[in-house]
Amino acid sequence: MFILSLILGIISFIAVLALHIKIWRIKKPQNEIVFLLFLFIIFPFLFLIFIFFINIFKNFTDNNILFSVFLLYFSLSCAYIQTYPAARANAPSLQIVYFIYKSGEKGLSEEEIIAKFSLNKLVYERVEDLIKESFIYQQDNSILLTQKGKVLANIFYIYRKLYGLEVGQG
Amino acid sequence: MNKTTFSLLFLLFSPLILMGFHIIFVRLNKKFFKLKISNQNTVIFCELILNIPIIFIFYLLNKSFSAVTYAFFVYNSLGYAYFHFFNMSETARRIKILLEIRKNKILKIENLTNDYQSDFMIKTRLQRLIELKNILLKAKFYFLQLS
Repeated sequence: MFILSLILGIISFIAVLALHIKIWRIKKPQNEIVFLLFLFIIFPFLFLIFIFFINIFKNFTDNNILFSVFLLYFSLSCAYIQTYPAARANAPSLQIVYFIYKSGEKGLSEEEIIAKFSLNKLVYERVEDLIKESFIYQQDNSILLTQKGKVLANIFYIYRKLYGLEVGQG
Repeated sequence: MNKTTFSLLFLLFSPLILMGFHIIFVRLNKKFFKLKISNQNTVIFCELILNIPIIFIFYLLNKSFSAVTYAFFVYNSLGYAYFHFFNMSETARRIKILLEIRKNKILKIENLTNDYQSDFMIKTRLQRLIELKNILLKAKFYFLQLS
């Protein structure tokens, strides 16, 4: 059973990934993360429920096979969705590694690395992203949390508290 | 509920087991072990070490090697997603900004950059990359760590 689940789970993931690439090449959605969630998780989940219902009446396969295929597909999708924002947002750590890689055997000093980044790019771009995604809003020269932003900030605050950790350094 | 369904549910909830284990490990380390290990390495260690009991339990319930391969893929994909979630709370600039505003209720944009200087951000990241053994520092120059 699990060999079949492995094959079908991986094929399903590749099929949705191909669809994702196709859509992005035609037109990149404004809110990419929400769109990814719908494409990779919510629509396939609704499809799974639909298949489960059909299976109750037609009984064409074992429900455990459906469950195991979806579970593998779901886990691969979660891993992909979590990787996507880091790749998309030009994560500074990835950029640092790239710059060091490009410097080859010469290497890079701390000053040279710092010179490649600007505060404007590192902070203001993220502030703009947060405004665009309605997590914060601007009032004169200040920024405040929206209701959606408060929820997200509270989730991460409580999450860090669970571990007894201070707020991350960003 | 048969064994297979139970084992699949067990895999589905394995990130919660990982989270519980990770919380306990971080708290114990802070209080008793006092190991000098970065937060990111801690989560990687917890994720990897839990492969053993989770895959073993899945094997006991299904008794096949294809089940072991399946459990390996599912658990590690979910574990990888969990790592990214934790890492987001640790390193993401957006989360840091949200939490700064949460603390102050309202924040002037120039104040945000006061305690979030770019050289501090880069130094923090260089330190993390060294701890994760992605890069190394030799005579004041950074190089990729190839092995």
